[in-house]
Amino acid sequence: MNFLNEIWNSFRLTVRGFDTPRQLALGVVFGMLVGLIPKDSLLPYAIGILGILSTGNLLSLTISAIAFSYVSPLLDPTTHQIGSWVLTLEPLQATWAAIYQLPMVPWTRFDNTVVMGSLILGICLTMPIHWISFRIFEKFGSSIFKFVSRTRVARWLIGSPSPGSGANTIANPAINPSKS
Amino acid sequence: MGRWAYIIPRLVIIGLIALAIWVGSDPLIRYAAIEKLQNATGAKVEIGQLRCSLANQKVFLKEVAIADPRSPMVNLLQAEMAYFKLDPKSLLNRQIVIESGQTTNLVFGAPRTDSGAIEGFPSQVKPLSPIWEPKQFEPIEQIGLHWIDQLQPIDAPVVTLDRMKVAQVLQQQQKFWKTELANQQTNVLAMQQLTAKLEATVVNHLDNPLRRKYVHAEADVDSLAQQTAAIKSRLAELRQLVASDLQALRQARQDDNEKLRQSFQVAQFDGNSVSKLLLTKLQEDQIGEILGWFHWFRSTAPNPDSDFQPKHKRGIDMQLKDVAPRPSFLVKSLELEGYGDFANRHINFAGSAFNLTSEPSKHSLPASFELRAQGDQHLIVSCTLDRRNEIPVDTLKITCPDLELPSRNLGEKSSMLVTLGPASRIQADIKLQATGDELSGDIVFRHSNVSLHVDQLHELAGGKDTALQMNHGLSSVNRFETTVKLSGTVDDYQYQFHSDLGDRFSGAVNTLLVEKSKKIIVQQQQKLESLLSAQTSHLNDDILVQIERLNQILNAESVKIANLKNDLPSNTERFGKIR
Repeated sequence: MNFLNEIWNSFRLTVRGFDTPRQLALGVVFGMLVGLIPKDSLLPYAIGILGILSTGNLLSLTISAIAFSYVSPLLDPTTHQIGSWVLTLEPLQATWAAIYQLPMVPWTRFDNTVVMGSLILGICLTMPIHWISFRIFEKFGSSIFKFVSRTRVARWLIGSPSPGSGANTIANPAINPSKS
Repeated sequence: MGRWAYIIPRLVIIGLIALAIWVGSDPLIRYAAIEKLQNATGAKVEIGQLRCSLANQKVFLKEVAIADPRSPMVNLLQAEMAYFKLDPKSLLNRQIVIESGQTTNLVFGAPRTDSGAIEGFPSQVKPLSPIWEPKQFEPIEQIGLHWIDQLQPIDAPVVTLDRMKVAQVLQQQQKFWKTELANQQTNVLAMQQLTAKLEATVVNHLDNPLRRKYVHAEADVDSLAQQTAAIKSRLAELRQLVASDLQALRQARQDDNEKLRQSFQVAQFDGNSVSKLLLTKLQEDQIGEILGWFHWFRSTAPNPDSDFQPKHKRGIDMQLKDVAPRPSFLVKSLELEGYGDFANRHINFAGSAFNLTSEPSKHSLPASFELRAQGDQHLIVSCTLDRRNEIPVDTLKITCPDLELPSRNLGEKSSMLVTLGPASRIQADIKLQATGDELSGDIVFRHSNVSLHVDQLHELAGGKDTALQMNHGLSSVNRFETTVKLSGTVDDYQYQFHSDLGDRFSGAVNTLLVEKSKKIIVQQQQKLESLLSAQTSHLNDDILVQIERLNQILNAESVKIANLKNDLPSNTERFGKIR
């Protein structure tokens, strides 16, 4: 029972986990990748699992994925251009063909221009997005925390700490700067 | 532990997601299948229940309906149950390949209670089977007129006696001999009377030279002798005339026989024209019906590339070099069992479909169907829908093993109307191919157990009497075969047909007519012979005898005249006495 309690508390911390700006930024980056890539590909799900397994914040990952899912179609013309260019690069043709023959790889739909373009765009945006989001969380972390903690979902998750867990405080980087 | 503690709840999350997916795989796959099919066809897809066993690669579907994107109030197909066996290897390559499958109660073209259009999708409502009218060719009345025009009068071999040369010669001869013999008899009688008169005169007044009559006696006797000689000469001529008349009669008989033979050689019915007259309408109707089916088949079978309206796809799936194109969805073999309305006919069918795919251009084999249909008619249908290239190639083969043909009229009433009896059977082999709009095809109709009855026949062809006789001859025609060649386009088609019915029909009728003609000719020849024989014996026995009798009379008269001449004294002698 205690083990389950531990898991629950850990889960709460993970979800609410305003651990550090770096972890939040990591969540945003994974979310960005998941959101940008069309969902009829296996890639966003694989990246999502990677994101979950990473130290990134799940809430920021989720919010970021949802947000970038809305932005993604607007970028289709650009991603299509990028993907088309990459997929038609003569030196890479043999590589693409070899990769495509591997089992399960076709489910990634990397041969689709938008999927490939989104992936490349996402990878290219990884560092800038991480840097920007890190700066934002560093500067506006407490304000964002205040705003988020007022929501009903956040109150449900963090509002009633379980007895004996010691998790009655929120891991606010502004409050708990040692973690950053 | 502290550093990796965070991973436990995350693994739990992933585990929960995996569990949810595993538990809800059937609804998820059902949802994914509906979405995928809807996106591919552009029309509503309903799946009542889906059970999937990925371990066994088996999928079971219940109450499946796919609306027709071209007509939202009609289902393209619906099935009560469907079972598929998937190919696991292809599944790893993002290819859904159904190795084998079965459907039960499959229905094509069933009406829907609600619209099958998807909101937000452009719906193009067009009739599934546009009205198709068979092409109009030459009217049958016109064909009937052509047939009559090329006919030769059927009564040609019936040459009546009065139209024969023998009869005409005979008539002339009878008339001539009647007059001539009468004249000669009159002449001979007159001669006899004159001789007798002169004889009496000479005998009575021989001793009285003063009598005036006596003066001319010598001249009268001379005149009588001359007349007798003239009549005898005429009788001799007549004797020769009898011989020449007999010769003329023989010549006339020869001419008449030739005439009869010529009339006997006339062929009355030409096989091709009879086939054309009798079968054109039947062929046009049958071809029209078959092409109507073909037109329906072509217009209703959807072309995934043009008729389906896939949802707007993000990006383009590039065809990678050295990677063979392959369709994302392929049914290699599917057993079908169901029913449907095809071209306004209700038909139960069972059979198999092969190589059905949503992307025919990416598959090496064309879609094909092998079906046995049972409805009003039992049909074996084999069709291929080759949509791999830009120009679609559709092939349809239908074998109709045994079909009862209802009674119907052949030909046309103003020329020749023939009834095809009700119990006749037909077996048809139909092969049609359309490459784009270009149509080609061969159709063979084999009619058996045929009974033909000539109801009406134009007078020029012999009329009712000949029709009656023809019906006896037609009892031997119990089967015929027709071969049709199609060309042109489906909408503007041309056809040519050849049938042995015309030849069989003409053969039977012409044999009958020949027999009839032969009989008539023999009768005519017998009559001719009888006439000739009668006239020959008349000429030999009567005319010649009469001539001979007259000749004998004349001979006797000549003797008398010679005696008279001898009895008469010469003028010198006579007048010397007087002096």
